[in-house]
Amino acid sequence: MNEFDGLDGSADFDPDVAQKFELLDRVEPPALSLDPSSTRSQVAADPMAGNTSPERRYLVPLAAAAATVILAISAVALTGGSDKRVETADDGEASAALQSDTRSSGDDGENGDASAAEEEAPSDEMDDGTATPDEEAEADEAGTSTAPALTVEPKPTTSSIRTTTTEAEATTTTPVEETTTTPTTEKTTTTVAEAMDVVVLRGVVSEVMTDCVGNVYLDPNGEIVNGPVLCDGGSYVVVDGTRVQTSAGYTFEEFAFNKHDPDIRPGQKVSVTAGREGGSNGPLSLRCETCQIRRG
Amino acid sequence: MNPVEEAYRVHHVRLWRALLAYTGDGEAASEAEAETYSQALARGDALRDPAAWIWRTAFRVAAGIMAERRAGPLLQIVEDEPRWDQSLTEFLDLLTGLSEQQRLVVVLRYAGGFKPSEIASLLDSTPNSIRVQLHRAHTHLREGMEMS
Repeated sequence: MNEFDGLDGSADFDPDVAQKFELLDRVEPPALSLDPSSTRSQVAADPMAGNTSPERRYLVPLAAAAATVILAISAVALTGGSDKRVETADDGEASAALQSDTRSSGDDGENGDASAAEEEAPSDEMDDGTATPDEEAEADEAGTSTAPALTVEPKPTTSSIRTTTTEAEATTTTPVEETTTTPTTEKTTTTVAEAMDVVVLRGVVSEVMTDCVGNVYLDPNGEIVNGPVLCDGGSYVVVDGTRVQTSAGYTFEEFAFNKHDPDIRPGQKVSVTAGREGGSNGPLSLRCETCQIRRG
Repeated sequence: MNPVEEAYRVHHVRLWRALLAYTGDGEAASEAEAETYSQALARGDALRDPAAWIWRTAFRVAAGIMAERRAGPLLQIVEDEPRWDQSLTEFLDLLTGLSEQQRLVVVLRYAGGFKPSEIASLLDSTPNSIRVQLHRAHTHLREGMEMS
């Protein structure tokens, strides 16, 4: 019990005040449109939301093309034709469609937030776990489907340099080079003392997502610099199709951190040292001590 | 159903009335709520608890809107503000006499229907601190009600 419970019995609830608040019941709130374009944040904060995304304009025809290609491949396979050549030629197109689909979906939320940060002050902090493994896998899947993307799973179709050290392997590094190389993207993985795989990515930033509503910053230790936490979804950068969380967490959560660099912009070449959380398929974040994002 | 849409169905009326009580301004309440849902929709599945996020963010946004308005031109043309019931208008005026934090807490308590522990969680505070602020708000409001 707290000290106020015994004062006058109104510490938690005052019937007279409650009665006054019942006056609000006389007011009928206006219905809101849940269309994001109806709010003031839409124009600057979420240009990619809704169906206005330039990529989305091509989604339907691309998806249709992909479906056609798949049908064609199936037909060739069933008829015993020389499917190898057809598959190679068409696979890229299908993958392009899939990748466009995936990235466009991601854009809906991410780009808008980036713009919001540019319009307002970029504040960054949010909720851990928001970059779900599924989301990460989705991004990675898009990445592996076409050439210049990072890979996470050791899939046979991988097309980037891949060097992996699992936790079990500890200090031994066993580089495995995949079929092709990508000039703008590299990835190496090592295990660090904090039991988080650290991945180094080099590539071009395609998207920046900052999740904030106000001017709130956390220092690298997750301490509030100038205000309460307002955000939830986390801040991210997408480097060649791979999403890296740059800030996360409510202030009262131990894992709150903020390494979002407001100067990072789409189109910039960056070097990212990120940690992979939750095992080899976990999302990438800048949560670890050595994690960082640098331009160039 | 989209979790944000679901949150809207469940919380819209209560949230809007709470924002009205907090801001004393129907337009600001609507604007804050719309902005909040817009932000929530943009985040989609990234929100772990959309309802909590929406309640937490809506008042932040509302505070920002009110701050913007306070910083605006001194002379403003008020357009078509709905004429509330006189007793409601007086009560909204009474609420503006509270500190911002007290007003937020008392609004969340009565218009939002949250327990002190829930308010504490929303505001990143402690239940005891919330009870202290509720106690002070009650005292202030009772004085105001007696005077009126």
